[in-house]
Amino acid sequence: MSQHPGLFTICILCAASFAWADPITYDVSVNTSSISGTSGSLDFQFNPGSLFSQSASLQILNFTSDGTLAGTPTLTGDVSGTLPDTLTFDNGSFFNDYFDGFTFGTTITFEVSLYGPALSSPDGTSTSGSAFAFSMFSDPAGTIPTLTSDLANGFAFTVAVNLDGTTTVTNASPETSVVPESSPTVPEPGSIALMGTATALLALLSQQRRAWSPRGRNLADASYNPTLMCQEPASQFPRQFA
Amino acid sequence: MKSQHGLITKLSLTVLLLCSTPAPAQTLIDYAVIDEDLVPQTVFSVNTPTFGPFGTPPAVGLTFHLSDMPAHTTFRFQYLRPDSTLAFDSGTFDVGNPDYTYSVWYYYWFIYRDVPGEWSIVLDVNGVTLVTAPFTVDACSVPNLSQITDPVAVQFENQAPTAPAFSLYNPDIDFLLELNMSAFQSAARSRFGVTLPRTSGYRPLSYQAHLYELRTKLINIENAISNDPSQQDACAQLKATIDDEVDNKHQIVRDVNGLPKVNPPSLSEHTRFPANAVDLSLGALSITQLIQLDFLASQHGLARPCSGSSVHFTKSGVACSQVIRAEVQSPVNILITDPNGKRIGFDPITQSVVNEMGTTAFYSGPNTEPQFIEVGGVLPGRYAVTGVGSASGSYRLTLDQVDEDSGPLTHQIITGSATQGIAIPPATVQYVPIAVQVSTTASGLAYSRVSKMFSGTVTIKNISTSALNGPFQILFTSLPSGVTLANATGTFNGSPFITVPSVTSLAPGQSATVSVQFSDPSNVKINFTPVIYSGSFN
Repeated sequence: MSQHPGLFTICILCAASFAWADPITYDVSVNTSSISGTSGSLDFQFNPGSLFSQSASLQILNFTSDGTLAGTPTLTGDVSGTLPDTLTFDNGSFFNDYFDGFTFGTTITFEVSLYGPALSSPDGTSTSGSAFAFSMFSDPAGTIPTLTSDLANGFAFTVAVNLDGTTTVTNASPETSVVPESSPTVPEPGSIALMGTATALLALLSQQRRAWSPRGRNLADASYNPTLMCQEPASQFPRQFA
Repeated sequence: MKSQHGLITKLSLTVLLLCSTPAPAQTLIDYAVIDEDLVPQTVFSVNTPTFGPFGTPPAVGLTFHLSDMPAHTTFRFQYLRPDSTLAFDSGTFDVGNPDYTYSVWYYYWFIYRDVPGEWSIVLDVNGVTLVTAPFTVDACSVPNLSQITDPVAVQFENQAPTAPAFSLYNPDIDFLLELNMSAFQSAARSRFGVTLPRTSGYRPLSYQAHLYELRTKLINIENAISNDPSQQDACAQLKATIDDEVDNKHQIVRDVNGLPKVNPPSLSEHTRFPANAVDLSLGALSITQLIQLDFLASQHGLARPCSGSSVHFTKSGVACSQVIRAEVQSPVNILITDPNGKRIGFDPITQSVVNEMGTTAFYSGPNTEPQFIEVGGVLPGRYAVTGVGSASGSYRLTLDQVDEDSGPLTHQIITGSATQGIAIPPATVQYVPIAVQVSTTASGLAYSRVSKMFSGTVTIKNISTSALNGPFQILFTSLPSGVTLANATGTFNGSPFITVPSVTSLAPGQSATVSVQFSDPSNVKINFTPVIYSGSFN
């Protein structure tokens, strides 16, 4: 922030003017050509931690592949939808999992979108984050991990939702690309009306953001969240006891 | 020496110093009535008698100083009841002193003190009565409760069970603690909608001593009844008085032995002035709520250092004061040695009671049943609990650590067989301080279909302004049934722990993270209460 002295001022303005929803979306692309034709399986899960996790949700969007979904998926916990349509998870249950048989083609692409209070308004009192994990298996039962160096757990990549609202990607799959989308954050519907009164400021903010958030950001800094500094003060969202 | 007259009643001694008329051949210089421990009930002003072995059950006798004793002097002791009837007569006996002209003596007998009132011991020397020493026998062998003389303690006593309002706030409470506590209580109200009233702050040491006396008196009464069933009736009034104080006046929770949960009157964060601790009423908050509350407290410079169910809050960085309790039901006399080598209990070498820890420790005495040792103001390190059989038979040794508010911390039960004169296997109680200036957070958990485990991380962070010394142990308490920590380093007090690897200290603001793997075959929600210790469990 010290390299961009104007950013802090702009963030103060946006925090004061908008109720920013703060989802972050990752574009995921997997080269599965090495196992094309294999009858295997896919697993998606999004879970809270063992202490106290703030509410968060996740969607799997725009799932496309030249492979074939097989059989009936198994849904556990707070998850809804069926691939290739949108899957929606939240972290309200301890274990939220979507498991489906899959015959691999040459590619899989989808988007992972994370959103909710844990990302847009960290409360400062929660003590656990949440975790998303994607795994691929070369058997329908989901016991033999593939396209990952994490043979102990079998995860291709994980996304951790941290207590400060940032996210951290850990990618153990050389065949998998996980890239954060660089599009501006999406305001909540309730704040759309406010946007009309702040068009000039938004235009300025958008230009500044593009300048500081170029596409194709280095994955070594995968936890980068361009809207983090615009979060609202946590005190506006008092937590209730669980 | 042990007499024939077994039943013991209360001994409340008074002494009449006689300026006796010197006999032609011997002179009484001084004397004192002594109890079963040969302790003079008045100061023996000229010479201190040589203390001999302890008598059990309690005895009463005389220690006296004679001069100009002719050879082959004779003594005769008579114990007279209040109505002057003879309770015991030693008969005249030769003390065998061919050369003594100047001597200090002591004699005691186990007298069946069956009648309350003023008794007397009559000592004849060479047929001349030199001493008529009165002593008072109460029906109950346990003395009455001590009178509270501290005026502040009297205020507490009068307002029990509620603490006086002045004791809950500054200036009785440390100024910074007051500021932090007020802000914390306000934040808990606004953010969580809960009211956390203060229940205890400053407590004078003398008041703590009074509360603790309720506990020790009950122990002593139980022991008296165990030695002499007639004490059941004799001590009924005193016991009823104590029970009323415990249950009605002070409303103190009792432990499994029916004894009030009160700690020895050691200097603690509550008893120092101004106090460095405040107890809050936490009601029936869940573990999750307590974790949130602890986190909020840490943001206000406060901590709940005793963990678990404790209601005891202090400024961050103040350790939890602990008490160790040992109870043995058996023919075993026990001894506890602290990390500095100080002891309390029965020393099998000298066959005597030792207390090198002072008023912060209590020993019920050898051959009492059950036998108790309690040690307050526990120091970091190991406490060794040893014992020697006083007879043969099975024994059961219970060791507990409790916090400043008598909240349970650890619990051990050890059983075995004792043989007279033979040491039982030693036991240890270890106090590893809880690192109260450390916050704990955890990542989300992901389930591996390969390992069948939930995996994630736990991070500890030094939230103080000074470095903390390791090693650090993360204890996972209150894990749900069926959930196990698969990569635990070991267990401590029945809970698994992980030693934070390669971290010898944490600088202010510094964090350390460990991986965790849970086995959860039933897919129940995994949660736990983290407790961070600084020190080694080994």
